[in-house]
Amino acid sequence: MMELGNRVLWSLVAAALLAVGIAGLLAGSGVIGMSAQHTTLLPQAGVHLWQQGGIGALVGLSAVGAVLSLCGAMLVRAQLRTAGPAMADLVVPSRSDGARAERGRTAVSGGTIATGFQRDLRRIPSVQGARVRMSGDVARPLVRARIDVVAGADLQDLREEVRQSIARLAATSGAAPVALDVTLRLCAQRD
Amino acid sequence: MDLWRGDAMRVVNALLSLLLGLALVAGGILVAVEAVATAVGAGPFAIPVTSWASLLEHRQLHDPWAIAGFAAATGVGALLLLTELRPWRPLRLAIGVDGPTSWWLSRRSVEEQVQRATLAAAPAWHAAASVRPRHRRWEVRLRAVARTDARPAIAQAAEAGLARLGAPQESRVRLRIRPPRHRARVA
Repeated sequence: MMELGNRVLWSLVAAALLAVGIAGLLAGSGVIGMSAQHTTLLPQAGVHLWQQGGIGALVGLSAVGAVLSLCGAMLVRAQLRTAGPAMADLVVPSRSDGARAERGRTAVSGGTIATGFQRDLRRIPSVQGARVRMSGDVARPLVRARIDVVAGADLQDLREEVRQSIARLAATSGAAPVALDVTLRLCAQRD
Repeated sequence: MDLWRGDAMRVVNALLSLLLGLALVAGGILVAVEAVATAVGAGPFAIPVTSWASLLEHRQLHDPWAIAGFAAATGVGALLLLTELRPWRPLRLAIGVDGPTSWWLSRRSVEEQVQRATLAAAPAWHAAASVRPRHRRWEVRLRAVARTDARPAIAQAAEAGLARLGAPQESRVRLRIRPPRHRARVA
């Protein structure tokens, strides 16, 4: 998402630069009339108006500054944030009237489930590395996985092994993922 | 120039946005502080508003440095707009969907595999592949420096490599072979 947002932002910035540049060149070279050439870069009244604006203008200006810096902070945060919120914790409810082992509350953090799946993927012989990110509801988890695979591996076999790993994940967490997004990267074989 | 079709631009855009964000934070705070300082009578302390305003109020659009500034804005804007709007190559290629799972393969990996298959199939000095997904197929451009009689072997190896990766059956390899400039001594 951030990729598209940045692309739109910088397309707009580029279009604005281009428009200002062309307009300035046309006016400055006298193409759209000789009087335009002598226009000053800043209207002579502008700054003085602001200086005479008094306390109201200054309060407005400081508000503009605050809004600008807020926008900047949001832009920075969007660049540094990697993904949406992680999955919530899995809580196995207690049964107070059940057997002794069923009493009490069991909670597993969402991150632990993702790490477990990641470790399971890394156990596949042709897998060199894996990174897993789980989000969404515990009952309807969404999974994104990036798997580094040895270049010579048979991808059909690998997909079957990943499928088995997903089945184990579903058995452990009690809910099958509703959507999985698996990206494979092929790495040069280690000698 | 393939690098500017996405791969480098993703990083450039993120860096530009990061810098713009930081500049906005710093500039916004500075403007707010200046305004407050002026309001309480301490006067502007970091931005000499009066001097740059009077400078801009006396410069006209036909001044050489104004023209140079507009020319620079036009150039930078045109270049940036072109690289943003040109179609970017995707980071990954779809290799199938089963049930809730969608499978993808990194585009760079596919290109490396095709290059490796080419270099293994025939004595080639250089191979460069670039993959682009088209409607339901991949279009592979493969440029190799090899003897022209190696063409069938290279084409076959590249296609076999693609099939092994699970590329759509209609995928095509457009092969361009350039003979080496000097006659190689092959033992």
